[in-house]
Amino acid sequence: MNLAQEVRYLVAKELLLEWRQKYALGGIALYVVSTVFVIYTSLNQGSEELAKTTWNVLFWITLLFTAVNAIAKSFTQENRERNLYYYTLMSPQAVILSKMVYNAGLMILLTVIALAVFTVMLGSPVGQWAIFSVVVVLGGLGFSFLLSMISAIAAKAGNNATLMAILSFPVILPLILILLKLSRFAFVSEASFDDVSGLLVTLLALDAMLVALSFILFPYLWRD
Amino acid sequence: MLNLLRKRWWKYVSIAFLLFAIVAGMYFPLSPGITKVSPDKAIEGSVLELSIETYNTDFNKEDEPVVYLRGDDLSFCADAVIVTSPVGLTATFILPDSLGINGVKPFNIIVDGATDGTMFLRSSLFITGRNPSNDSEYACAKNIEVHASANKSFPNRVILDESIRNLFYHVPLWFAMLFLLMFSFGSSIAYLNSNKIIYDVFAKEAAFVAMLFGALGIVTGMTWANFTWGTPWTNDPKLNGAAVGMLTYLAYFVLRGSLNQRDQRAKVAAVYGIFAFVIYIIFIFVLPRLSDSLHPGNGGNPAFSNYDLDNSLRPIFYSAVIGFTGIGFWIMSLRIRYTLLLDKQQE
Repeated sequence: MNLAQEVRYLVAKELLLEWRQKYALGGIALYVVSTVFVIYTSLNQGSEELAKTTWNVLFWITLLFTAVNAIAKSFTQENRERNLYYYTLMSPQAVILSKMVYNAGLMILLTVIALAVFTVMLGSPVGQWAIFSVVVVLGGLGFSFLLSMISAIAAKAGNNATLMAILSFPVILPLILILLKLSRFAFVSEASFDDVSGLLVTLLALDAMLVALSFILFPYLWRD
Repeated sequence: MLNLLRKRWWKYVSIAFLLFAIVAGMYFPLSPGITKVSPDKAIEGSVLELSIETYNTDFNKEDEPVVYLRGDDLSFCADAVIVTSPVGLTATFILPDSLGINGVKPFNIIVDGATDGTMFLRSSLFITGRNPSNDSEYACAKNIEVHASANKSFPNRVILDESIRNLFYHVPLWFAMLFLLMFSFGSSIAYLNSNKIIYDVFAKEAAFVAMLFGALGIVTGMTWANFTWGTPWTNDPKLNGAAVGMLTYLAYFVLRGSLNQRDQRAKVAAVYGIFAFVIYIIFIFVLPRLSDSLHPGNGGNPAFSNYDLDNSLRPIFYSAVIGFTGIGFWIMSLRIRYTLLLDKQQE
């Protein structure tokens, strides 16, 4: 079985597991909605218009916390023995790639939910939807790639929520800063892709590097 | 590697370099400079009596330092200069009637002493024009030339002042930290390749000493920032980079602490160490693209290499880098040997 096939089977397995425990997906979707609702009620019920910077920061911080919570369980929802069984069947690269692909899909879904709720409750300062959607997709990919690897590391150490957060926050900062900067461009309706091409390339390179790093490092981590 | 770490010669070398950096960094005086000029305002056509306070100068009564004002293409010599003290002058200017100044124009004050060299204070006098037309002829009687101080000295910079000496502590401490982190990174890779527990000890102790140096770098940096920028912490990418580095490696130690089984701890820590280091390096390179820094060499601030007299700083700076890095590795080697002995005792 080649790598692509292995990844396909594993992603299908993830989807099946998710489908069987629908409450998990529902739970994380509710997490997004409740977070936004807390922000909305805390902000004096939206009577004043939110500054763009504040919207930007709140949006990405909400996504960050959602991502950490959604992805933390990647390597712990199945027991150790079953993971060992996958190891005998599949290459470790296939395992981490499948987690990344699956989490990327999950993150994009959650981003869409978050964006919809934000727009309904807090309005939206986005002026250039084309740029913003590209940024959101690349950001979701970056979150899922980085956090998949961190959750694999945290899972080895008993996977408590604190560890997941303290391991991921410092390393996710460069990603967050690039995303915040890119989103600010997307708020200006006259912005074009030429203005952001440099930053987009940086973001793409960062995503690619995260995949490469995980691809190289995960086999060492997986081996028990 | 362990044998090299036990060797003595490089420890002597780093002590020598560090001592040289500390002594030389304190020995050389700051080059002469102007600290205060009063008044700072004047009107065209008036007689201006400027009192100038200088720093590290040694004026004699017999000396006749040349004092002149310069603003773009206009320059004036002082008509009379009286030395009031080794660090004080009074210069009298008879300002011409119509210089063609429209509104207010800033002038630099330049003092050219015989032994103290040429010193100047940028935009320190503002002259208000009364007559926008320029019809007076004015020429400076004395020859204007720029020359350096006779003694070897460090550049005297406004705002930096004597704190320029912190260059030999703050920056080398960061350099040493980065070298130690690189060593930790290399050791982590070596551990994953060989599974020898000693590389894990290397990686851990190198990261530990790096954090120690990072903390010292932050303290020296905060002292410096408080003196020059007026606040110990600003939202500056380099400061944030430093803080992120510290957070990352503190998390690394928490991760190590939460794993009990030795081989597994070594493996998981090595994986996180490599992952975090690569992202940290990218962070350091990417972040300056996103925002300006107050640090020299960023956001339009001159780097130290742009300073005219940087050659007096450079050798001392590099010795401090070698010295602090050597001391860092020395502390690390002691900690490594201590950890290895502890392990032996437990077995």
